[in-house]
Amino acid sequence: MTELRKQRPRQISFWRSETIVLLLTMCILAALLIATPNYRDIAYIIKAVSRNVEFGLIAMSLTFIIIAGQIDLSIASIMALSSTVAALIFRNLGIPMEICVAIGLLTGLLLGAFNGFLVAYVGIAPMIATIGTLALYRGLAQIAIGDNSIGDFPKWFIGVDRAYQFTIAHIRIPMTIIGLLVVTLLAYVILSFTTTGRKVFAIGTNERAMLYTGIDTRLFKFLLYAVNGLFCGVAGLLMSSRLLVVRYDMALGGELDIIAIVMLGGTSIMGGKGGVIGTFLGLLIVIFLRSGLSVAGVKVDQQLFALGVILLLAIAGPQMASILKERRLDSIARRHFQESPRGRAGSSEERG
Amino acid sequence: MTTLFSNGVRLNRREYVTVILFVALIAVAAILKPENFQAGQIESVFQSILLSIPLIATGAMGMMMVICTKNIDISMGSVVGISGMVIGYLFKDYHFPFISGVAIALVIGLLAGALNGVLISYLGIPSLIVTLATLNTWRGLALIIGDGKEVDGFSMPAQMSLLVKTGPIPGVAWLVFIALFVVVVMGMVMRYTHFGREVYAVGSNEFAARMRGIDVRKVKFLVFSLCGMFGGLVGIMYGARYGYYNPSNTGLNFEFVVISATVIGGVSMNGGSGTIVGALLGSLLVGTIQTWIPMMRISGFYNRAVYGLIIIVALFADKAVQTGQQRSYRPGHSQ
Repeated sequence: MTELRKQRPRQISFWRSETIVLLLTMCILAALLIATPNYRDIAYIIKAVSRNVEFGLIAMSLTFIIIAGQIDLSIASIMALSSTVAALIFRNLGIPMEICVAIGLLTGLLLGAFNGFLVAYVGIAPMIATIGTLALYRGLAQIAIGDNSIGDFPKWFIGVDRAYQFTIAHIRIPMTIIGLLVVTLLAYVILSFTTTGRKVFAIGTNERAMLYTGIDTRLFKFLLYAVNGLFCGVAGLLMSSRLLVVRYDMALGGELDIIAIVMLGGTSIMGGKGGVIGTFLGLLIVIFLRSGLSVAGVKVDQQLFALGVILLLAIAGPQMASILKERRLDSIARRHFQESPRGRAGSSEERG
Repeated sequence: MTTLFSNGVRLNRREYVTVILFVALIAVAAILKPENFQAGQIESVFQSILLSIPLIATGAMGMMMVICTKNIDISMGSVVGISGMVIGYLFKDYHFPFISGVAIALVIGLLAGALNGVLISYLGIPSLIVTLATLNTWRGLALIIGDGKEVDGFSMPAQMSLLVKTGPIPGVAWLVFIALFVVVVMGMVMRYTHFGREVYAVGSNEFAARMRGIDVRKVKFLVFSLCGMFGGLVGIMYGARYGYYNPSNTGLNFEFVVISATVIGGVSMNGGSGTIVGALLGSLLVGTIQTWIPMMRISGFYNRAVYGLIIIVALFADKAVQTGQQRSYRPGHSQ
């Protein structure tokens, strides 16, 4: 046991996942800056970041869900359906856009709540429930507006990321990026310093134990999904503001990007492990990668390949590392127990 | 064969629901759009339903095994795409003979499935995340290989179209017989072989299966590999049925079609239960819906929502059956 105690803490303090992700982010950025001269433009990088603020927002709330051991695959579909509802009401009923935005957000909240209802109260496995709603929500958006796009929004609504900017040293920074930073900070505070955050980790580690301590895990999971839906609604409206139109296929396949962002950030898909800072770095990795490949002339569709491979590596790598670590700890423990007769007796008792 | 059908085709309650829905769909179509059921029309309606089933049924055989082990494979559509795109490319640019094309498609499917299997069973990563990643990886690779260009039917060997146009019985194409063969073989495998029973055992209680001495990892690996191979087979059938391969289109959303066919056929997402006959009936139902939607003059935009709705309704049904069973096993014990 002494050997175990001596070895572990130092490793955890330095080689925590965030450190590795930070190094990885810097490596990718450095490689891009060296390989493609066109990429050496801070304004372009800022623009690339502002194009991905929506996915970043959802990644923050999805981090909570994944740490709690759940998953939501319908995120991109909620984005599409909530902004479709808002745009449709605006066009057909002529209600002012302010109210339509509120209705869009409410739709996102309700769609997320439906996911939460399926998962928490009906008790369907989250992966399977949300794969159903992934198809259903997108399909409803497709029924609602078909292959058309809805535009002609009032002036205050369009181009939010371009309209509200401020300038530092001749570089124009959109307010949406600041918004994302604020959300990240809030999420970090909630996850690390409040009981809510602790509950998220506790559910992901051992849900039954949580239940026995007297916490309504069903309600908690339901609320997590509902809030996630709200974030998807915000992201959907931001995206339609940025693209000027709403279509049923907006953010099609976006769940890959968002899940890749969270996974790259070192959040474990098994639940109970992870953090918001990692997710933010994961977001930067995906942004650098996507925009770098675009600058290098790789088509957007073909980037799917790179993104898929990176997601595979991001999940397989830590999993392999943890399997190897377990084996090593096993062998250390075995060696230790073989040395002391008392330990051996203890281990055989445990086995029996 | 006789044993398979003497005790194999006894439908359970979920499967009766599928049959009733099937009959109801036909009845509604017959009442509301009788013109489709007149003498000149009924044959083409029948053909259209018959030809849409083989692809779904073949895919459903693989998906059924995967769902039986309490996993899911959403990469199937992209496996169809990549295998189809590779053989289409080989047919067009290198004039590969038909048989080698078939072999290559099957091998590609098998390898893609094996990759899923390794990551899921040996590294222990949840199947959904792995297949979400491979779903996009293979789609991206298909786009890179195809370079956005489509392979049309003229550059494919003649046998491809003969699969659809001719058959051992007039009016029933080879494609249908291939699917039927796969279904019968899978029915035998799932019912009479060790492997088939092990799949059910792993799905109903993985821990118990391991304690019983079943190599759970190997079973899961084989299930995913076979599922990939069926994806490759669907890749060939796709070219025969539709006469083209398109990197961004071939097999897109096919996984939703197959998953909805499988779950509506009574294969439980909780693992361990479900039959080949159920999956076949589910494919029949979904194949009919695919023809039914345009027949009723409903816009094709409804397709996706219908699949989503089917999946969610089937999940509710699963849950209801499960709760009912729990109640009947332990009377007096409400949750």
